[in-house]
Amino acid sequence: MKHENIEKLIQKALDREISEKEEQTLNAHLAQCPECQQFYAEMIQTEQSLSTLVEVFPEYTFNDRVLRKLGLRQAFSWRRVVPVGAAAWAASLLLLAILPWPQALLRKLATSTPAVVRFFDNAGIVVASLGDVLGPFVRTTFNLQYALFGLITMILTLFVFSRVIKKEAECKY
Amino acid sequence: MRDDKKQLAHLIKQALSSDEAACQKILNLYKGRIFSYIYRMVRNYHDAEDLTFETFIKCFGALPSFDVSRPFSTWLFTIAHNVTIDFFRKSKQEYEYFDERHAVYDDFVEEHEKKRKTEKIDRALAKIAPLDRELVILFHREEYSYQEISEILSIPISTIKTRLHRARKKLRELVHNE
Repeated sequence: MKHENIEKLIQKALDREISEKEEQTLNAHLAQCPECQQFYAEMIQTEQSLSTLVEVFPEYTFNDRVLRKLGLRQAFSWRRVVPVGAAAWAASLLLLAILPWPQALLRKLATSTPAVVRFFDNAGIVVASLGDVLGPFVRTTFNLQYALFGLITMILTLFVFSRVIKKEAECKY
Repeated sequence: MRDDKKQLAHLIKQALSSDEAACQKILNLYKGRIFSYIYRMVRNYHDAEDLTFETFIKCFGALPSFDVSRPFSTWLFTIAHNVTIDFFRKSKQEYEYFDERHAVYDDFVEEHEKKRKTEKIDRALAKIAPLDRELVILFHREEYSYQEISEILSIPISTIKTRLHRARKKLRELVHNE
């Protein structure tokens, strides 16, 4: 059989369209023709390397870009995040100041161990001296408990921030 | 490699109601395949990213008219192909024939090499006509049938076969004589 015809059979084999009879003819020829054998081996090798071509990815911000364009996601903006954080801080401070039970709980917690008392006494001094600068309102409202309130509201605010930032980060991958 | 029809139909339904998570899942499922295909076609990372972006924007825009009985990935690759063809037309690059000028200023191999060890086959692919490259990728990498490739590219199966056979032979030469 001519080499040209064998090449056609090899192409058919790579197309997965070769019949059983044609495959037998091809194998019989390959067994006795080293030239065609080498050609066939190289074609198979090329085909295998094609199927293992690596997948390439766009930049990690790609999803974010698409979702923003589709109007499904807003751009990260400190203008949006800062008011949210500030509102969370103010609301939690207000709640802690108004509700009686958190004050009682915090007072109990703050006086339960001497180390905690010492820590909050010192914190209270710092906050009180800050109050001297900031005016009579701050001086009368900020005391030992409010130092602890500050700590809690800071945690709450960080939580709100982390939710916003997590949402931003989810789109990266 | 093939579409999971049930999962996709559900995702498409959610994406149609502007569900951000569903759109994100569709992006994660297909962006690698679409980007790799376009990247190997245009051989420039930034152009490939812009064209992949355009493909997905068009895809989500046309999603209401998508016929769910059709394979989603074939439809998506049709959009990617049309976007790529437009790019070739606008940048006055040859699509059906290999243009030596673009091989000289080809940053595909260079950029790719920076990131990972370039395979011989990638270097060989960059040296054949874009249309042949496209056929090789769709048939061997994406495992589409001749019928599916014919639908994606809107060219007859006989043309696809002739060009693919020639492309394979050329690739063998390039890989083994490098």
